[in-house]
Amino acid sequence: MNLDTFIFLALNGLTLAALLFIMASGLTLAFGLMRVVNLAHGAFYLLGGYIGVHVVHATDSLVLGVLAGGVVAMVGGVLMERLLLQRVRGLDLSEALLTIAVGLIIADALLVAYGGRPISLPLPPDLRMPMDLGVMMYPTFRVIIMAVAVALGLVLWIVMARTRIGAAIRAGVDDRETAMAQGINVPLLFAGVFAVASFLAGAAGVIGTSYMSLSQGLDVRVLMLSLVVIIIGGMGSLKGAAVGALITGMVSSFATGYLPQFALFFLFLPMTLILVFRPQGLFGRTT
Amino acid sequence: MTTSRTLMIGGVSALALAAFQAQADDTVHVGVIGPTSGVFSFFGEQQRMGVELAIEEVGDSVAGHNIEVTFYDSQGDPEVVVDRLRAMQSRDDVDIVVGPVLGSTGLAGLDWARDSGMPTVISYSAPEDITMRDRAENVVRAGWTGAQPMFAFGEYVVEELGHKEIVMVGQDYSFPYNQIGGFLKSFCAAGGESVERIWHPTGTSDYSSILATLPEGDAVMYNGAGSDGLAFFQQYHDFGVDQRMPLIGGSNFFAVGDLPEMGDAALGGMSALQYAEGLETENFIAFRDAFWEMHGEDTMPLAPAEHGYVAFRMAIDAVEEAGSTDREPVISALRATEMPDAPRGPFYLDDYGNPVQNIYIYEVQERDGRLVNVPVETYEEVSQFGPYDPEEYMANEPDSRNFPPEDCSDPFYDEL
Amino acid sequence: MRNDTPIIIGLIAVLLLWPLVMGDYAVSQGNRAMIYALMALSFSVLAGRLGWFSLCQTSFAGISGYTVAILGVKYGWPAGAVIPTAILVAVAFAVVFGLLTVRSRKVSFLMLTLALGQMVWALSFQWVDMTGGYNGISGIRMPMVLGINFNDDRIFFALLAVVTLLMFLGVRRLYQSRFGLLLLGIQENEERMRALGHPVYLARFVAFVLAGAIAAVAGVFLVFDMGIMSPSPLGLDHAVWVLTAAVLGGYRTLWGPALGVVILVALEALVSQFTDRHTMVIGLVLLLCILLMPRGLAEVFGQFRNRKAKSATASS
Repeated sequence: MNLDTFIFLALNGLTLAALLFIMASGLTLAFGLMRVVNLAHGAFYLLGGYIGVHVVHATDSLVLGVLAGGVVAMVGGVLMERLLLQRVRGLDLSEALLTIAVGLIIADALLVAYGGRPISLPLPPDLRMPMDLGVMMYPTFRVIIMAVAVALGLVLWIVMARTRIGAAIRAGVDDRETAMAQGINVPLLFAGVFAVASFLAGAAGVIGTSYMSLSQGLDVRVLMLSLVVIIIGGMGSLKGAAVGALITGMVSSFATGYLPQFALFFLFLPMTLILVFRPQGLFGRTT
Repeated sequence: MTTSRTLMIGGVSALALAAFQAQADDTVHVGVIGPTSGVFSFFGEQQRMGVELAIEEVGDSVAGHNIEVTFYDSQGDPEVVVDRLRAMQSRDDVDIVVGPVLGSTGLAGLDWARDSGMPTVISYSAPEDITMRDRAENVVRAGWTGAQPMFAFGEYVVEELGHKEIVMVGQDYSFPYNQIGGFLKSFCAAGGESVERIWHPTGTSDYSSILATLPEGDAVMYNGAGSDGLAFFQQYHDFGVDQRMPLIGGSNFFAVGDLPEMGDAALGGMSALQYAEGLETENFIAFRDAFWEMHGEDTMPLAPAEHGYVAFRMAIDAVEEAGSTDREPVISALRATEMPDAPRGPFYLDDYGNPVQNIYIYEVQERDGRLVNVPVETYEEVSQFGPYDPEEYMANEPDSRNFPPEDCSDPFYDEL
Repeated sequence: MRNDTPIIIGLIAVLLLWPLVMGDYAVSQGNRAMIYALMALSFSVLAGRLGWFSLCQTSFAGISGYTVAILGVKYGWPAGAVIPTAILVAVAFAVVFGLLTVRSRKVSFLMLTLALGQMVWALSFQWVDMTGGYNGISGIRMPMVLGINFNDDRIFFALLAVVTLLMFLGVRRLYQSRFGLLLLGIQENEERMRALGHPVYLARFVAFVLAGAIAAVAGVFLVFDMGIMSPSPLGLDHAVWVLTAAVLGGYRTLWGPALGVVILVALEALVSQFTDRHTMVIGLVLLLCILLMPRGLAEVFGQFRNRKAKSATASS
């Protein structure tokens, strides 16, 4: 293997890992806090993507598009949390099933609204241009995706480690009952985390469409990828989501480069190994 | 008890439905099946629009029979197809089936039709064995086989474009196998050297690593379509591979609705199909204008629409020819189909039930502010067997991941 | 468990009459309903007894279906060898998946089975040489046995009805057995059962494999009913469909899942005549069930009957 190809593949893996981290970080935090997994996550990705691309077409502003996609998904998430999930609060399975139902409805509604054809995101040509990274030329927008993920990771880490909200979230993840007893409003905290998670799913829908196309059926794939990432990293762990995204992105990139036929197999391989040897995930705690 | 009561109620309502839908003998009931929901709904919607145009043109009756049409949603799912076809046969008294549209559903439809004897006109579905090794007397096709347009394209790529070493990236399943199989046979016969095949799982959205390890050649062919094709197209340009090697496509790459999303980068892209929306024949213009009048100018009629239109007209013509809806005469009329005035150009069915038709090599050009596939070369009367003898062709093993061989100096090509 | 003899007698009567009275399409719909009732039963064994909601039971049906298709069509094995092998292969998968998931609970279990089910689905369309990929494998037919053509819808119905009924009665026995009670006990209080010395993981694992076997039988009938095997029955939408049926009918009861399937099949047949929005319909049904009657129709009816019985004793 020559060095250039190696760097190229590594960068590709990093880009994918960045996108996976944006998708999975909110999901895993929400799960850690309330044992609620949002299985409509993929549908929110789709929703945010369609709306965002629409807005980019209308306004020519990429930033507005990403924000619009995120906000619409966030509104969807908040509505779902307030109107539906609250009614079955505490029954975590019922909550998960409700999110499945909402996911089906959203995806089908998007099919009616936008049709079955795949769409792409119109990026300004500057962003498609390659950028000199010192080691090789690489498309600018992919570098930006990586930067966004790193920034997001830093912000989340600072919030979690340095702020009172972060401390409250950590307390809630560790032990919900005790945190409640100490006067932390865990349900409200959860609503906030859930909103952020939905925002990230929607924003990821726009960001991801910069190089993957957006189409029906992608919702299930996105959901599956996010689940693989958080199963590897450990459900509820932010660090786990980062490491899980890195592993999945790298394995997927190198496998696609050298054995494209078996790319799917390699996608699931790390997850299966983790399940066998460390079922709680790399950074998960046993329940 | 509750269970049995519900079963009873369900049964009674099913009986009522059956009675309600029982047809008088003076009707010809056509069942149209395609994926109008789900991932592949674009194809089903196109077919539906084409059929609706044909319904309007044909009118209310044929050979003294009232025409009645019912649309069924296949959901792109073979299991659903079998269920809907059963409903057509025994609940709704359908006389002729038009569709299915997709590869897997086409095979499911064929499998069912063989047992039921239902006259069936398969539209866009392209697995070659539907009209080859697994053919059934009562099943004909209005469309194509995967290899059919590629026989012409393989020759054209060597002789006119001068590419002798091709790198192909394709979706890993039988339709792309068949496309590249047809391509390789004529490509090698015309003096090509090799086609390196790289297969990726259907549903891949990140091609950056395939592009990172792409071997060198005279041109790259993407052999697939849909969201995979669009993502590949975009990333191919993102990484500037288009500066090194031109990109050509399998038949569906530019042809099934992704051009507006690809944008101007698609200009000059080439492929081959039995249909091109940039045709300028009188029959085609008339078809396109009527289609636009009915469905609006924003929707371009593409191959699945024309194939649905033609399939429906084949069905009605067969009833007219037979003078009744009796299966035997309808089937023999179907098998004898000749359509000199089809929008895509004249065609007739071969002895195996597949059209012998024009293949257009087309190029993406801009016309009236939109991107259109414009024919630049026409190969007339191409059959599903290309230049080969049908029996010898079918004696070969079906195209697969690694067959036919990728190197044109392989002895396989000397014996062809 | 209440006395459900009237239900069983009623069911037998309906199953006897159905192929005699109804038209061809209703019979084939009956076949599909029974096949999916078996899958819903497989789901409900885990959901109702252990609180384990699985999204990979349809995968086991798919695995046995593919095994039938591959061995029967590609390798030409006789049906007598194909069918038991298919069930064994699916059970082997259930053993592996059971080992991978046995320690997880509730939502984690749901997520794991979702991921594992998707993995099998990916395998089914990726392993083209074996499975035929997207196009699948066609031409799968029931064998003739003693001059009886099992491809006839009505004869197929009779065979399937007998098997389905036996499987339900078998599960009925299971629910009443000590093992069934142990499972319920584990669902209620796992720690207590462990403290009492019961092998909790082993019991859950055995239940998982049993449920897999039920789905495997459904898969064999599924593939013979359709005549073609493709990746679609392994997709997430089918898994969610089965889950919805079980929740609608009442996954905690024995007959609930069958009831749910019958209603969903009838509903889909009805809805498909007016709209293509079947996905949305399934989503709405699931949504309403969870919000309005999370225990399903069977328990709603059960409560209704209890109340009537009570008011009858009160007035006498």
